[in-house]
Amino acid sequence: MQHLSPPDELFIRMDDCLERLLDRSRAVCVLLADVSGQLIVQRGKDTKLDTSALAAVTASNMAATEEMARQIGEPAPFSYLFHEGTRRSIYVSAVGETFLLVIIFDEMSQVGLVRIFARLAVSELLGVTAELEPWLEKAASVVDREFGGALADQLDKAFI
Amino acid sequence: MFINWKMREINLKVVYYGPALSGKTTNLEYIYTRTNPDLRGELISLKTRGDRTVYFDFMQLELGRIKGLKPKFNLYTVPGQPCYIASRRLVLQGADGVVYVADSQLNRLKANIDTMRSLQQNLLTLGFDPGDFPLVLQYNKRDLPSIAPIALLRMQLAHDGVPQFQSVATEGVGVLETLKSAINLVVSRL
Repeated sequence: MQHLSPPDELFIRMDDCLERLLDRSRAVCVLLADVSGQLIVQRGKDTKLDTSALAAVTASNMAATEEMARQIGEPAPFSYLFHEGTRRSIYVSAVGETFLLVIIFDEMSQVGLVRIFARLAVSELLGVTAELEPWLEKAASVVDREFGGALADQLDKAFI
Repeated sequence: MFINWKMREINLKVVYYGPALSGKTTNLEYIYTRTNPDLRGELISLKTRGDRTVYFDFMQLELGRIKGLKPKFNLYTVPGQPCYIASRRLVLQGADGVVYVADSQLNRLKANIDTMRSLQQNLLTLGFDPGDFPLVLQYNKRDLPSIAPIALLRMQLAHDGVPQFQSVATEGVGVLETLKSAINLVVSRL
């Protein structure tokens, strides 16, 4: 029988990579998202963060910097961006053309440290994401008429 | 569309598009207030001091699991002012469907037509076929004086088979119907 979802092994490798990055960089939180802002994996200590919104805003920010690079005549998009805050900072790195790695850190870490371990993680994640990519658009196998009907029912219940 | 196989989630992106001040943000704000708080994320608005959308608004709506998958809808608006054309294109990236919020006022007819053209152009640039892309039309501000007849708006903006709704977004009239139609349309195309 044909497998309908990517092998668990891919996600285990992804989890391991992010866990290692979190530990080594002493970050507060690390996220892997796709460039349209969809959150894929998160690891971290701050459970109060709205990581879905953060992924959406970060992806848009990265897209905007890509446009900035184009506007100023850069031949390729910027590969990372960094915002330094008074309490927390954020470092975002492209993982190929489809994914983004987001690292939130505080005074327990330093940008140099984050940058070094982010680079290591990106090269490791590139291998995993290349294997994951073919699965990204495979929805037809899970969405059918029954799914659509159940969805309409759930939508009716979502509003108060 | 993105299936997060790890979290068993299906993520879909719906973008509210339309001319400046047509009511895109108002749609999202109403949806936010009417959604069960357990099913929604924060409403993020990237606005200027003058309360105009400078980049986008965003909210996430999630439903219970269906066949083991949790559907999540990421709702975005684009800034309507003509100068933000690049931002609109960026927000459209990865969109699964568009709700076009038209301003029904007669003096906004040209703005509606121009913005619809820019939507079609942006869709083409992003590799979509504008004639086949999931689109829902909303004729907003139907409570105002000096509004264009629906037949005129339809002739200028709609093409065959596009679901259309009349609305007064400030009062919530037609807002949820539009959203449900867009979601059902997007899912039916998967």
